[in-house]
Amino acid sequence: MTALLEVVDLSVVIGAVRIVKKVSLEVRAGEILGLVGASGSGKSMTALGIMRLLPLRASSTGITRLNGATLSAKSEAEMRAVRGRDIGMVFQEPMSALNPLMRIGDQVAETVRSHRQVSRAEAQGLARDALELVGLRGEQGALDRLPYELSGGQRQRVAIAMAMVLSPQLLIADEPTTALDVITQAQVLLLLQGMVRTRNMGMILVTHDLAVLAQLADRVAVMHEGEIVEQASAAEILQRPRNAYSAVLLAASLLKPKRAQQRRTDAPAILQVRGVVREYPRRRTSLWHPATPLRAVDGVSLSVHAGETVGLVGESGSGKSSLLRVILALERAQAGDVSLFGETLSGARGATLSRLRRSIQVVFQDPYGSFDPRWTVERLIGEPFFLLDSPPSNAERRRKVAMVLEQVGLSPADAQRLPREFSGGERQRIAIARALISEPAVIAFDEAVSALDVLIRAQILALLADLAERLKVAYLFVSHDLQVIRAIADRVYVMQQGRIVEEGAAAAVFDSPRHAYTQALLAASPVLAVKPQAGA
Amino acid sequence: MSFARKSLGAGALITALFVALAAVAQFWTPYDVRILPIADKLQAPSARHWFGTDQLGRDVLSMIMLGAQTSVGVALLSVIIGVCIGVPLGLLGAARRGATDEIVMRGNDLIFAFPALLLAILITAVFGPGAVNAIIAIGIFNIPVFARVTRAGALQQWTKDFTLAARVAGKGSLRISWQHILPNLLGLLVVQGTIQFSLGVIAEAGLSYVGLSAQPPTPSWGRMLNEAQTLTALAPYLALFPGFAVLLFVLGLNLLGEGLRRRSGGPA
Repeated sequence: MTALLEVVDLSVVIGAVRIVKKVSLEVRAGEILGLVGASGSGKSMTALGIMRLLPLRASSTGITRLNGATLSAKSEAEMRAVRGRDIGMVFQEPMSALNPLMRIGDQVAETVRSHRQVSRAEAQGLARDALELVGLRGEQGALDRLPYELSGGQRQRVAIAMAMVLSPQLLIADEPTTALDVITQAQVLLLLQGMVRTRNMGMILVTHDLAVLAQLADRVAVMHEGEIVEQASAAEILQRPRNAYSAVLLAASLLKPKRAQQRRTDAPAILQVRGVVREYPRRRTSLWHPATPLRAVDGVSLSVHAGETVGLVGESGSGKSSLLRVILALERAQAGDVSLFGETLSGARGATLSRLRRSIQVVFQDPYGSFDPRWTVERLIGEPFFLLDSPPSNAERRRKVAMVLEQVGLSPADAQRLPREFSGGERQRIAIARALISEPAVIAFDEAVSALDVLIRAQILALLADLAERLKVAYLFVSHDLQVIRAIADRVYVMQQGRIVEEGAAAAVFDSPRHAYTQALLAASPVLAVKPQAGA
Repeated sequence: MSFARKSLGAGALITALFVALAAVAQFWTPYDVRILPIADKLQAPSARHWFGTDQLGRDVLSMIMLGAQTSVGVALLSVIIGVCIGVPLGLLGAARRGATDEIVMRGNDLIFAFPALLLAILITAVFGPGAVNAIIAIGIFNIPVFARVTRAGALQQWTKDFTLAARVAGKGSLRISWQHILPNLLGLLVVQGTIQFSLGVIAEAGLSYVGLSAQPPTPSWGRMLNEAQTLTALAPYLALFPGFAVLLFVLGLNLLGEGLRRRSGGPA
């Protein structure tokens, strides 16, 4: 059987740098090829190279054939006809892929009309069918909605409908579910898989997540520094990776718990949250009735004991971040209180607040936004010194910054550099160093590893486990990623719509979830259940 | 070379030229304009007087150099007034939000609601004409501009996590504004400053044209234009050179501002 898509020696050069080096691959009809690699490995550039949608300064060489037609020899005008009609593409960020001012039915119909000579009504009909295929029904008014009225998952469905409406032979999906929460991700993946199978299309799924591929892909190509280092059936790569890099990637994706044993939790509770309610005002919709506020956090109680790692799991919008802001005394709760070492943090002011804040620090999700780009690392890490009654001398300050830099695996020489000189993983280390400098008893992590790819994520988690062991610091680890929570937490709270629906020891919650929501979350999250064999 | 870099280079060159002219005029001009050699009046441009002489026999080139001093001085000081009051107001509005923000911004709207030049004329008419009053009048209209630009930029900075990190480090919103927000707005403010500077040059020329800015004998481009008006048939170059000076200086400042804006990747 001949290949649907054949790529021979595709290279992409940007400036003087070769981003993709002689990549060859093929996709058969009805097959899903997973393209996996760390960020910067060239996997997205490979996908764009096939579509000939490379950035302006980039150039590519090599041959790509779709059904025998040589794409690499086509003119730009001919390529425009191929894109959308023969090859559909789905991108990571569903919001920016849609026109915010156009009704979604019209957007899908526009794709049809730009390729086929059909009437407006016919195009609308095709659009309706495509949207129905992805589960957005016309009779519910989905066609007339604007992108901002849809959830992230629904937007991604629209993007998929646009890619599918002309029944392309090949679908290229670049991290299509990375921006979605687990339950939505499972639905979207199932949808993609179903379409490929029933329509006998080919699909290239670009992702950094091996667990997603384990569920979906028939074959997997592993990319590393612009080259395909291994290409084999999904089962084979997941069981017996032959290439050393594939093995590393797999090990990092498996996220084995980094700690020898789970800590006991009979230590005294240091952080206590009791019945916290956080409401946000909503816009008034009626002249006569006051607007009902949005209750983001609805009577949450939790505790963190000395030295333990507590996981807080929930989807986006479940109120995790709001709760965290209340705990950090960044926002006021409408009811309930937060106490640290028995002292109330929620109403504290002035010197008391400063003293308490020394004991609770935070690491944020975005390794780019959480540093002032104009400050040196030393100044950034030293910022919490402001909490001290008397600031340390310059020499003392430098010594402490050097010490925490070493603790997080960076060099003291990095202190004089600016944040932009560091990679995402290194920045997250700097953020951890900043949290450590005031010698806190608790560090809160707000999705602190979600923006990192698997290899870096595994390194940061190992570092955190090591620091917890050495410094006896407790963590409150907030994440939507069950894999991560499972790997790091001793105890888990599951949050849904502002309430804690389940809590317990991590092993108990993950192995025998009691609440229906926890069960749904677990069922939806892709799990790598394979064990790499020794010596692989 | 890209448009942005060309525009930046040309703008910087022209601006530097005028600032240098103004600086040199402090110590030296081709002729002393305090002396009025009436015998040499209304000479056309020549090797001795490059730009000619006016109706009182003064060298036009020397007048333009001294006029640049007035122009740069008035525009610069009025920008400084705008920055010193507007920027803190904008930072305060963004940091405190709520009622403070509302009061600050509505106050700005109030000033914006007046036609700028007309009110400047009113101020100088009430407090008497003169360079200082012109500076104050133009400066007042720079305040809301800087307040708005600062507030918009600051609001954007406030959404970033580093402001949260600073709050966790116990810093209050005013301290964060000073240490984190303001330094990240410098690029924005330099661009806006350049644009306001060029508007200040035009405003000064306008006010002195109607006799409400620097008073004689201090030379200024606007008054030179005014005085040249009656003599256009006799000596058109008298109007031409100060006119070109205003045009070129404003063009240079705008090119500089545009180039800086493009280089920093700011919005149009």
